[in-house]
Amino acid sequence: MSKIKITVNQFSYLLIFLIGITSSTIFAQSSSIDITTIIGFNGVFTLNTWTPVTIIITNDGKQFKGELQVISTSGNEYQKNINESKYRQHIEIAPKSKKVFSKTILISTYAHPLKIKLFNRGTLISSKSINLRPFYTDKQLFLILANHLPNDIIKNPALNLETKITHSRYLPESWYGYDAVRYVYLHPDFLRLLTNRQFQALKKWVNSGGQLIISGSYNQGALVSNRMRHLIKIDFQGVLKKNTLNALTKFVGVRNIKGSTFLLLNHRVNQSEIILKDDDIPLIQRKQFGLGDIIYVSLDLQENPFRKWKDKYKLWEKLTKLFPTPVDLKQFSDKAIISNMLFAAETNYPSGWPVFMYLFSFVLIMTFLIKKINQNKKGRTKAFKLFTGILLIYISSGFLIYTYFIKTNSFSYNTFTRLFLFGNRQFAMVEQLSGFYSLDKSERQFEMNGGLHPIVIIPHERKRSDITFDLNITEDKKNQIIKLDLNKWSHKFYKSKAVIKMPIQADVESTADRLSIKITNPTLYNIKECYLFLNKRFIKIPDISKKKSTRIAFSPKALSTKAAYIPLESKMITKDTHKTNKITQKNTRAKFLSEELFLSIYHQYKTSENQIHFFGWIEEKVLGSKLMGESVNFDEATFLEWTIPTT
Amino acid sequence: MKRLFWNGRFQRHKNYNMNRNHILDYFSGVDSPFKNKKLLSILSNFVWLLFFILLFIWPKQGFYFYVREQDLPLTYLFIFELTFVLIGYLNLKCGNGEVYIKMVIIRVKYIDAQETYSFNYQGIFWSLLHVSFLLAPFLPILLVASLLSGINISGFLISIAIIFQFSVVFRLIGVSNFLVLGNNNTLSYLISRLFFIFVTGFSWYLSPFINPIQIFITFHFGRSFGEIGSINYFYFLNGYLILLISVLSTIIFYVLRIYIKRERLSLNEY
Repeated sequence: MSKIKITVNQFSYLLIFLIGITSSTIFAQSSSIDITTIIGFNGVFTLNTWTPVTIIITNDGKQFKGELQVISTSGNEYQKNINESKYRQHIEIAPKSKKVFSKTILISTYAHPLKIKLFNRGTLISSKSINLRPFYTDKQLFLILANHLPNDIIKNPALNLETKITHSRYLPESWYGYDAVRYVYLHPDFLRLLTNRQFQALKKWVNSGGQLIISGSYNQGALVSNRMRHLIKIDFQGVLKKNTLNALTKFVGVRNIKGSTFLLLNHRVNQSEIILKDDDIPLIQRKQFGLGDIIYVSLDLQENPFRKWKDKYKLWEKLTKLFPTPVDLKQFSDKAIISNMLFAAETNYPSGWPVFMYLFSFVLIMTFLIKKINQNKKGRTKAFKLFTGILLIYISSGFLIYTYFIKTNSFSYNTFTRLFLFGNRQFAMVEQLSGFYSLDKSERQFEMNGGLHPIVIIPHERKRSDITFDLNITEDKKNQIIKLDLNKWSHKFYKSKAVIKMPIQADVESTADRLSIKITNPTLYNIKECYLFLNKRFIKIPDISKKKSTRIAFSPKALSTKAAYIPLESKMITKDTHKTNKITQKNTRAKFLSEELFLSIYHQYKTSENQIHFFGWIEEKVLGSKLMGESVNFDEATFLEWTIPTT
Repeated sequence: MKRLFWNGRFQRHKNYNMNRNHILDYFSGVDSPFKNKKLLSILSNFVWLLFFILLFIWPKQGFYFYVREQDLPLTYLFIFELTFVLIGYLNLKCGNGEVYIKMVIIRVKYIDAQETYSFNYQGIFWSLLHVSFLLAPFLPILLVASLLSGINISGFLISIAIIFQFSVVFRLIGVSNFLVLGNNNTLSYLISRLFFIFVTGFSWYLSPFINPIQIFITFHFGRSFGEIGSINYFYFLNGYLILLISVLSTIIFYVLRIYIKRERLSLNEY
């Protein structure tokens, strides 16, 4: 058998050869990939808002499979609070091709560059650093989704709006990507340019409270398209040739519209409210769409005379004023809620007394046996054997108990969800706080299902240098995975938002001596421990069962005899709720229903007189989220807040 | 095995106190140090001491308080550091022949009437068992201390292994010191304590990676030593301890060989 001898020199050459091959492969791959980035809407973004980032990757080499990372940095070095938010996505690009990726990220400062990185099996293939300063604006955006409308439709600086025409490619694929946008004008022809995900994002944005202006189009095909029907259903009643529109000029406050003839579209939008009519033909209609509103103008605003109309900005300003004030999300102090969530965390010490008794009995028995070994010469060996046996029993039982407690208690999490209902709009804004608590240094993954959500980490006062507030999210089309990186004896809180369908309805009948509210709950959620807050008074009402209607009636006169809620009374209410909570799940809600929450409700709603506010708890899961790979102690609580319409 | 020198040992010990040629006397017995009265009393007192200290530093607040304040209950750090010092010191004393005179680390075995001696390698096993025996009564307290500090299972086991390995090192330091300087003089006492202080405290200045106090602090706060060069920290620490144990064992082996030669006895493996 021949022996193969490799000298040190030969080995070195081999090593250099291998290193050369590896690095040349990486170099070859990086040189064949090109990254182009567009920040915000056609290069404009506002600070502290979720911003779409469009990344175009050109691959001139072979098939690329790897990870795309978009990293935004916040904080400053002087205060030593630099945090990174990393948005990751697994990507695949065919050879000799170009692919567009859209990420929605939160940009808090332009002091740090935005980093785009491409990794292949942990190796950095390509990276790009973008200075954000040139793209920043402090105005809210009026987005124009039309092919022929000019940019100068808003002139009034008091509106603090910046109009922006954008290419369909740069539109976000998530609803919260429109965070910086105040209004969107959509021409029906533009809809076909959107990808399915972009259209869904736009629709969901309106659903979450967005304000959308749609104009008519001479292209009837665009108005009857499926996408259009998902937004508004139009009943076509004809077309009229016009030279002037008196109602419109009166509405805008100008003398006349100069220019050629135009078509007035006799369209009736289903379930809408007519704002302006011209000879019984609806000109402007408004429709509620989830928590948002759509205004439909029965004219093609990107065609002449409206396109080149000198006073067109007056019309656009008037249109923006037709929207109701955006729904106000009452912001309670996160600090108070976090404090309660920490208190309700499932992770607990073992009870002190059993552990003390375990140790005390051990030390006593051990001392007794040692004395016996030392005193009694005859029974020495027996006592020694007993001593060894007892020692082994205590150590093994102690180790078992220790293992059990450490495994079951070293990590836990809970969520506190707030559900905001506005009138009878049938949609609810959901705000979920998720708290994670760890006794040990750990890395886990938390999955958020049901589409993309804006997720932020809530920084708290940092008392240890090893605690960071970096965000690490891997996103795909349907869900997001948060990588939880927790240190010993630490906690982290994440906040996410969503919009869900919540068709709960209330009908209020009010007379001088009787106020009757009929609440219809067709959902699958039982609402428990309900309270009404009316004229600074809390009124306890019965639970509202799922798929049932409940009628509550009381006399306003009797209500006025009840003492108004004052903060000092909060203790009584909390105590009362604790009592009723004994039978509910783990008594957790009782912990949440702290004085702070009642106080917050009081301070938030005390000024809204003659309005009825409803509060209750939902036990069922509202948002799909779970810890991946293991079953851990957790608890969920959902608090429903609803401003009931009185008219 | 015949028990040699037992009856006249103390007498001879007194007469030949500084005569290290008679050191073999101390290595020849088989009387178990496991049942040594003095040692058991010391052990009992140490366990009571730790028990009271644990009660004193028992976390006064609920779990959420510590997590909210990003604080850590100090039970693990205090109790493990203290146990390390107590057991280490006890092993040093045992090795130095201060608690009981017979050594267990390496025993020399009398074979026949021709006064032929051999190393009894079982002594190493008994010695390690004895170190474990000294550690065992502290384990229930160490378990509770780890539990209250939320130390995970691997962290607990590694900490116990570190205490054990350092205890073996202290015992070997004691034996080496005993063989070279004897056990009944001030110099021997001082040198052994200096070694103890160096390994426990001053090694910090040499390198924090080899300092046991620093190791427990690192574990307690969940920090990581990461890698030293390209070597995983635990491989590095184990390598360091094994090196220490090997060096000390070699010293003991050769010093003992010199004594055996002086006594004109053959050193054959049995």
